[in-house]
Amino acid sequence: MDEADRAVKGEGESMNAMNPPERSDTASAAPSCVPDAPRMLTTTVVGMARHAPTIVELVLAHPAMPDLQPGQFVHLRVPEGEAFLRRPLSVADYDDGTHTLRLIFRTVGVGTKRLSAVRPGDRLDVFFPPSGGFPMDIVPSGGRAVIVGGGLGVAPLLYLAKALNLRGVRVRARIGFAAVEEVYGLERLSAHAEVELWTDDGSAGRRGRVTDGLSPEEPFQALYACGPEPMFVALKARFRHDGRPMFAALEARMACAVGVCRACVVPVRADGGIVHRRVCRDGPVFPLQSLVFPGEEEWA
Amino acid sequence: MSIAWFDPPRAHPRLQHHALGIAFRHVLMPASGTYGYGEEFAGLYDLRWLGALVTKATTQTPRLGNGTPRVAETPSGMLNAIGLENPGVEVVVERILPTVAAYGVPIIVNVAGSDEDEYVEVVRALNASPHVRAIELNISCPNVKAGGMHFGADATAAARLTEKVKRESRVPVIVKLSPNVTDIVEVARAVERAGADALSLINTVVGMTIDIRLRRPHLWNTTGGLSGPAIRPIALSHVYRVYPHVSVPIIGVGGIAGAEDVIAFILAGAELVQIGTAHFVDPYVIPRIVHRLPELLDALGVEHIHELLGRAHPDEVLEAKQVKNGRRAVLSGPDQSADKAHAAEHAAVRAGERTRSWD
Ligand SMILES: Cc1cc2nc3c(=O)[nH]c(=O)nc-3n(C[C@H](O)[C@H](O)[C@H](O)COP(=O)(O)OP(=O)(O)OC[C@H]3O[C@@H](n4cnc5c(N)ncnc54)[C@H](O)[C@@H]3O)c2cc1C
Ligand SMILES: Cc1cc2nc3c(=O)[nH]c(=O)nc-3n(C[C@H](O)[C@H](O)[C@H](O)COP(=O)(O)O)c2cc1C
Ligand code: FES
Repeated sequence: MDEADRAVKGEGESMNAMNPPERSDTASAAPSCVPDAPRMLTTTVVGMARHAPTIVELVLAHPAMPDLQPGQFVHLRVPEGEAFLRRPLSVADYDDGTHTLRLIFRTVGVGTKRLSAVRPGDRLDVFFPPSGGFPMDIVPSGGRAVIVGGGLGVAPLLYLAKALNLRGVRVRARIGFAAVEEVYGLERLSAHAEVELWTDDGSAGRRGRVTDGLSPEEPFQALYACGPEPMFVALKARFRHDGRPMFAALEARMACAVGVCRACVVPVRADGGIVHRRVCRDGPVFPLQSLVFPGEEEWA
Repeated sequence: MSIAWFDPPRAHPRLQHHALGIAFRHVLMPASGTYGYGEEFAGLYDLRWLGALVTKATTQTPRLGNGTPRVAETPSGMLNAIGLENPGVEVVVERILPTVAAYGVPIIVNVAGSDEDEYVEVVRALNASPHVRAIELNISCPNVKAGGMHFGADATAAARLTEKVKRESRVPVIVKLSPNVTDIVEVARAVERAGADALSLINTVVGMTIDIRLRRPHLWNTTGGLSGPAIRPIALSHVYRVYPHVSVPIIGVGGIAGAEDVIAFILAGAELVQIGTAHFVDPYVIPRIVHRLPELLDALGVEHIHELLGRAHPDEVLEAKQVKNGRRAVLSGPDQSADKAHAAEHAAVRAGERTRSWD
């Protein structure tokens, strides 16, 4: 059981563990929040935990939460208007029975800092953008998938591993972190995948980059990745001539998250040229080999 | 409060308006660039919740726009430097407008160009579409090298462009002005004389932020356009300043986020209003405001919203406006033709299906 599970169950250990409040559907909306709309809900914080000094997990609940797919993200309003724009965070888990959603994020600036200070019982305004997710149908039941995650990029892969596993897919996960203090999600991932852990300094698991041990001979029907850009560049190079389906979940600076402002575009190779695709609407998951990264020679 | 997101009320008698040959169900519409071409929002609610739909700026040929980052956050607002990314007028006319027209809302196309010829070419191409009800001339985009704000900054250039476009356009022409000028009244009067049918006030305010660790601007484009509540007082003052000097309708835009803001712009002299950046904070903002306005009108003791039109001005100004205009500026009552148009549009609508966007 992971930290936040204990937090939700009130079993202690985690630094900010607290008892969960009443079920969210019995409580009325906080008066300061705008009323619910089909894709915009005032959720209740039902769990909160710290995995590392700067890595936080939030558990949110709402009875009318739309179904969330692995790879999708939510757009959160930062409480008290401390940040003007919403903040995108990946779905790290979703339970359609209890309608609870998990988010795992690093506190890097004003928005995530304020979000890390919420407490169970608090209300959070969540918009659920109709984005795409990881294509899972591509792997048949009994087939194999490989998951490659780095740092906070592991968050969406936790949910993906669970969903693939549930479909009878054998999942091998390679996850990498800077150091042992940054590691999270290991237990949860191990329940659904064969996990190989890497750290940059060797303080946990194997020492090196998460892509180091990955060989093109690895058997899989699909590969899914989320992490920092150098990780995608390395993966792309390693599997350049491999025709198997590979997918990368990207981040981009966003404003609207519905696909109208074109803030979040990334260059993608299509029809023999470079086109812009919106991370919020056309993504956030893209075929790995279609992506064009600034560091790559071919982009010059 | 419960709102029938996918089944809007048929009429908003206290908010409806007739201008530019368009029967507006109510006085609110999205601001250009914050609503795409409407297709994405059609999945969130029935677009008949809008008074009209205003598209992203459309140019003659497809544009990729600027590099990223294209947006940055500021206190009570944001900067954008998208750079007019759009699929070009041909795709807009042939593929996008026919789809969007089915949502049953009047369409206003925002037009941009690098030079006079490009603006004129776009307008010509739009003439071929039966779905365009008006054009909004964007002579105020701060984020492109050529064209854009260059036209809006100079009254003579703005007037000349307006005149050329008016000569070509099949539909009414709204001219959208920039706040980044010394005297907005001068530009407003010049484009009105040149034939503008309405004015949109204002586009974004030039601004920038700097990443102090990297010692460079946050935005790829260095500067961007500031929008959101931060510019509301600026927009309001521009509407207020221009109102006494023109007789064409003013469309107020800048930082509107709630029903109270709408009323403030109406009081300053805006017949219609646009809502932009607020969509990024609350994608459902327009239906919510429309739903709430009647209650606010009750509290303010008026029946129709236009009983408040320009009422923040001294009596002399209001009297002068009436004489000067010789046109009905206030108190637009129920309009038979408007109702008929509504009914026809409603019949045509096949609501809500999500469609692929153009790219
Ligand atoms: C689809 C998507 C999924 C994401 N999932 C996660 C996740 O699961 N866990 C996690 O820790 N982080 C995730 N991020 C990154 C996260 O959104 C940023 O770390 C966060 O917005 C930073 O906000 P801030 O106010 O704390 O930082 P500030 O630096 O104060 O933010 C300033 C502005 O920059 C934007 N910004 C800063 N960093 C990023 C970034 N890396 N990506 C996009 N916008 C950024 C903010 O949204 C804001 O507009 C995701 C981003 C995207 C686009
Ligand atoms: C992301 C973004 C894109 C915009 N694109 C356009 C555009 O294409 N054409 C235009 O005339 N105005 C554009 N604008 C300006 C808005 O239409 C509006 O005038 C301005 O943002 C002020 O209103 P607001 O504070 O309600 O956003 C854009 C604004 C934003 C935030
Ligand atoms: S964030 Fe606006 S288009 Fe993606």
